[in-house]
Amino acid sequence: MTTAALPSLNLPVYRLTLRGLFSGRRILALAALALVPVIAATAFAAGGEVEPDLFWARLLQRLVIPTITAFIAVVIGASAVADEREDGTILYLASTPLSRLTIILSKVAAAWTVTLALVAPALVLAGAIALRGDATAAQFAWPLAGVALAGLCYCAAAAWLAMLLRRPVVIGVLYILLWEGSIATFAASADRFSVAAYGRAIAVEGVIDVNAPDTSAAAAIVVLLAVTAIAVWAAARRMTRTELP
Amino acid sequence: MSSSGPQAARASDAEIRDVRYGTYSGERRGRGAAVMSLARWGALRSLGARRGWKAKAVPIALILLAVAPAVIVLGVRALFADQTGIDLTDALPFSDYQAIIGVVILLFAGITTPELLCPDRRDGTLQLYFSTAVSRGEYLAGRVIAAIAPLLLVTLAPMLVLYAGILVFEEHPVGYLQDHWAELPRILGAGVILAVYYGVVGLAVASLTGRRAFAIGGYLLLLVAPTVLSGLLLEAFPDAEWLNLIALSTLPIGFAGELFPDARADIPGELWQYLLAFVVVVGVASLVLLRRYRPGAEA
Amino acid sequence: MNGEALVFEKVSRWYGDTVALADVSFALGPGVTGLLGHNGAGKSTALKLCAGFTQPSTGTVRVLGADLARNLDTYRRIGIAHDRDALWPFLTARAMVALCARLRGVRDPDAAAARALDEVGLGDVADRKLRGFSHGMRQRVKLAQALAHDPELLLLDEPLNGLDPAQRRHIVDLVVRLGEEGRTVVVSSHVLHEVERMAPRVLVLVNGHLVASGDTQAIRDLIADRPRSIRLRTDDGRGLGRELVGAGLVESVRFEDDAMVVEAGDVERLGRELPRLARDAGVRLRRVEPVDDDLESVYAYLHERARGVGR
Repeated sequence: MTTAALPSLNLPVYRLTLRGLFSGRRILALAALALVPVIAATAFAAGGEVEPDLFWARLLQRLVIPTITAFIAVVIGASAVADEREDGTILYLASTPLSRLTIILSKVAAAWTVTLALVAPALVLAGAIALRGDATAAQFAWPLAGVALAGLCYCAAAAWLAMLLRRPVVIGVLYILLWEGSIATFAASADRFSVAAYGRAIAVEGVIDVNAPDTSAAAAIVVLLAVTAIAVWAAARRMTRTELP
Repeated sequence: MSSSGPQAARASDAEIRDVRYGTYSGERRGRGAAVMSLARWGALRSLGARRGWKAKAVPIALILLAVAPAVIVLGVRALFADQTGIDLTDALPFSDYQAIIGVVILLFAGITTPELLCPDRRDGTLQLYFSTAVSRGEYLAGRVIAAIAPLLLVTLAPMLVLYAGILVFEEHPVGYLQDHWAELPRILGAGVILAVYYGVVGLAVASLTGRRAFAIGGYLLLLVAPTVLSGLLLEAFPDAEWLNLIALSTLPIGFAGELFPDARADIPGELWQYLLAFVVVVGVASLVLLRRYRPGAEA
Repeated sequence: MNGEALVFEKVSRWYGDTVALADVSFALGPGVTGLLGHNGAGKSTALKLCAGFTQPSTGTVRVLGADLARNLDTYRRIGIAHDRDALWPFLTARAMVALCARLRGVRDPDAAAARALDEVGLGDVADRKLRGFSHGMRQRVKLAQALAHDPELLLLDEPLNGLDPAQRRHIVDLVVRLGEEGRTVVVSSHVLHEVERMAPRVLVLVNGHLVASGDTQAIRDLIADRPRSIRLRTDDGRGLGRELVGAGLVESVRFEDDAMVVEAGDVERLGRELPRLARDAGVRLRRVEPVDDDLESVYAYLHERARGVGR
């Protein structure tokens, strides 16, 4: 497509990245990971003693958002850029008149699509199993929104990391496991530096508060979108300056 | 084809350049840039740059050890504070931090400062330096900076990490800042005092010899022996507080500790005494350095 | 030859302490130019700079009159076949070349792709997935995507790598034709005899330095401090040799198989005087040919001369 004055989504690059992300064993492994909440919900439905609403809230805020979504989004987001950097195919995209912002934006969008395709159905299924028909729409809508926005933010940050480092997935996964998965989930005061915390702040509008931060959902939405925009811009800038691939 | 450069043979549409000879026609930066270049590369080499992984392992391990107490305290706070209320922050006040990692700082200085002066003297490159436009003073200035800057990584950085970590985990970070902003200049002062002391003393000892092993050994001896002596004498004469000032390896730590009001009571001696002793030691070390680098002393 | 398509001005590129290119300046216009050098001489770095994949540490690179980092539109007029092997395995050759053409603004990408694939000889496998392609086929796909959008400037990094002799000949002919069409083509290679066939002009890099540029013959002429070797087949070698030495036209004579190889400092004078001398001596000249005029010798000489520089 043409070099637009505004960065836009380039459909061929979007589709290309999408196809690249869906291939291989990686996607199967991540799909299996996405099913973990479903398994947990099934186990709970079989004989759980806690209130379904409380279980659902805990599942979302301790597992789905900080670990599952984070891990999948970071791996996919980093791969969207890192795969092509590693084997050199990104050079074919770099040698086009497309603005770097358009390229990065299209890749992040593709990564986001894949992330949602993996996590959203699993989330809905897990909720349906755990809440057994007593569910309200809010118990699904808000968590989905939280997952979607946190996922987008993770994808963008991972893409930026992939432009910065040669092995972004390792660093990203370390971040997830050490920071998001443990410290930030338990330490209330570290919330302002955790993407998952803002995701939880949005999800908590529809479910019981388990360990949600004090931020309002509106503020959380703004923060996540702002961080996404900054990450995408930084990744594009990096692409102009760094040695490709 | 376009042409450039000296000694280019040219035909109508071909050119051969003799690249074996050439003059420098680029930007010439000033004397300040020369000093900073000496400083920068000195610091990087002493930390192990371009010397293989073994040369990097020890300084990096020491830096990690220096930061470890802060990381442990912060980690405990992050993971356990909410549940159990355990908070080790009080167990590690800033005034004590340097005392706890004193050995690490000593070792770090002992390992990095000889790298700055001994190889040049031994390999004869010192004469090479002094045959350029760099003056002896500028060479020393660059090396002094190269000694002090990495030392700040173990004398100042750990405390800053602790401070920043506390801010991150505080419920009300702005409030904490308002209450404790005075800690920052004290931390800075403490860090700089130790870095200057150990750096300059280390350089002075390193300037006396061309062999790194002698430099490290001499440095440790110079600092540890008086400290041991001071300890022995203090047992015999418990009231002679000035004996603490002879303990050369812990002198700067005491000095830095005097900066913190909550620790003052525990440290024997007055601030001015420590200041005086500090100035004397650093002054003597500087004089040694200047004498060892006077014209004619390259051997 | 006007040099506007590709201009390097005092370009240096270093990575930490390693200098990949040192103070390289040249200007290229239409036609084929060979970029010669050993592995590690800086050819790939030079091509990466031309392609905009990296920035020079000092100096300026102007491609088609523009700075590529600021004028991304210039990519519509450049075709790049870089040295990495990988392609998107799940695409067919046609799909990939068409995608690249589309991204570069070609109006009918599928037709352009078909044409390009035919030109490189992949017309019959165009609809196979790239996953199963051999190294030589990948090379040609890269070349096809570099051609599909009809670029003015072509940057080819070792395009003959991995091809069998028939394919090589085909591509060499293709490159020659591209040069004749008025495009500016830069071909990097270390296979000298092929560069000789494709490129009338060369840029010679040794350890990051540009040691020679221009027409191969002209470069040879400039190598003044080395006498030229001429092989003569005659029916009385020794007799002629005696005459030549006596006349001071050659510095040395040596006999090989059934020919005589002479070394002459002033080839032009030898060329003028030889026929007369041979006639006067009654010696028939069957063959007179220069021995070390080929690119191989020129390159060896230049490389030897610059040995030690830059490393």
